[in-house]
Amino acid sequence: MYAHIDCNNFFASCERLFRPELENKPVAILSNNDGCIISRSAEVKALGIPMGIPLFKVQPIVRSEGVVLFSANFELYGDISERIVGLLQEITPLIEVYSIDECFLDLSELHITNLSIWAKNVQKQIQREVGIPVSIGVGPTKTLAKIATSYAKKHEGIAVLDTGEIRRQVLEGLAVDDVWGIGWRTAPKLRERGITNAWQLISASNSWLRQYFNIAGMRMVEELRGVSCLQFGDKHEKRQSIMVSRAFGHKVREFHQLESAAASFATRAAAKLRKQGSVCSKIVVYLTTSRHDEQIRSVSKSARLPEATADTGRIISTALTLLDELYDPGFSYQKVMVTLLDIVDRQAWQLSLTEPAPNRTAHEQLMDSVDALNSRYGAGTVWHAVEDKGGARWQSKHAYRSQRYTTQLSELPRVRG
Amino acid sequence: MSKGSGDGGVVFHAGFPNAAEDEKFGSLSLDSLVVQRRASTFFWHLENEVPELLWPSGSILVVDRSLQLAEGSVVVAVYADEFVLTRFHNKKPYRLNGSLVDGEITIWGVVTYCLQKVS
Repeated sequence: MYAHIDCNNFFASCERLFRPELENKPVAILSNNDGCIISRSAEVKALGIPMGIPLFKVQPIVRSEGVVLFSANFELYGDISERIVGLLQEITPLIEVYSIDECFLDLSELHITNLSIWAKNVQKQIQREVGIPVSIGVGPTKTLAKIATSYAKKHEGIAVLDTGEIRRQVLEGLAVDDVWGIGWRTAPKLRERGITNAWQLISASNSWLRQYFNIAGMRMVEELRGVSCLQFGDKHEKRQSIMVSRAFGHKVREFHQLESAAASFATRAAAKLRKQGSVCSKIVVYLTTSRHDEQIRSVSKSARLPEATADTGRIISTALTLLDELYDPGFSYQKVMVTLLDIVDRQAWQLSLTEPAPNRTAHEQLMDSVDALNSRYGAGTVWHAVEDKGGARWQSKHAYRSQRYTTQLSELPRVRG
Repeated sequence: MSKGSGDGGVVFHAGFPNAAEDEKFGSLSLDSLVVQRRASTFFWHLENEVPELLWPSGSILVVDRSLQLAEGSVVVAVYADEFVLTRFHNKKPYRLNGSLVDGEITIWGVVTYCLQKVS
């Protein structure tokens, strides 16, 4: 059996942990640039405010209903997420972290007599120890466990699809459009043929289903039938590409501002690369104006590095060369993105024939020290000279960010004696 | 190097072994003392002086949400939408000045350490 643990309105719940007066009040979290709503408390959902909508479109209802807004505080959310993962790892090491607010557990090594009671206890423990409400779904496959969780959200937060009876009931209530992995193109075709819910789907014959599904789709059907086909665990734990980008708080025309933004993103991307013990050999820079501008310029360019590296300096200098080639002073830009590609393990890299080998250990040591300093004293303690610090125009707006209660000693929550 | 004689009269040379070669010692970290459970331990800033406990304003309180209440526990509690320190006697909550808390409180976590600056 598998369990799927999903935090309820995760970002809003993290904010409420330190703002108890917001319990039962509408709370919404804004994307990096305070542009769109990316997480909503149940009260905000009830107001009919949709996910992902730009803030300006719902500003009237936000004001009239007193919705409390927060800028995304990913340091806080990331730390709370790690705490939940740590707690689940004590239960079983067979854990797959699916996203910042979702995990799968493989329960096969555990001896659980009553899955419902077990799930209830895990739910209680996370609420008590970390302070975050979660929903838990249990099923014979990952897909069924995930479906159980969305069912659980409407039914007291726990659902166990262990018997055929309850599984049938839940699958009959699940529209084909809502099945994990069925696209918007396939769903109407299935409906046309009278298949409207997941139970009808899995009752169809494989030969019939093959008209509509490729191998991945057939695997999903098997998962719904209770036959486990999806890989478990972080097999692809190491990312194949690393992308860092932000939309600017204001439109940016000056090259030096774009340059400092790109350098900063390259730095962050390189740190992520080193953190997973990899090197990259290709860099892509993407530069774009706003889609709403009259004159649109949206361009990208890539470069292959003479040899695979995780060195911040080399990655910055390559990214800036690309940026220079893309830059046209006739436009105001909205966004820069730096992407690292062709990522391999540090040990597996190929020595370049065309470039003399640099003293790699010295490079690596320098970069390790940079990362250690930045992680101990906060990101941005040590940086390359071209990264602009202090109020640069490209820095994202985050007007409503809460304190980083759990990661910064200067921003701890406060209590009165 | 020192020269010595073993039991069997065999002469041997011995130097001080360098313990660090065999074992790597980590440096001390206060976390290993005060953070018993990483998942449930949080740091708080004490906003005012608590004369009853000799805790100065600005102390850092270590709070563990996983602990059960015990007699005399000092807890961070939510009272009237504010975070306040509360002490439990005979399962009843008291403010640190000794007055019984009147009204509903929610326990946030149990204080396990108070770190204060001395100089």
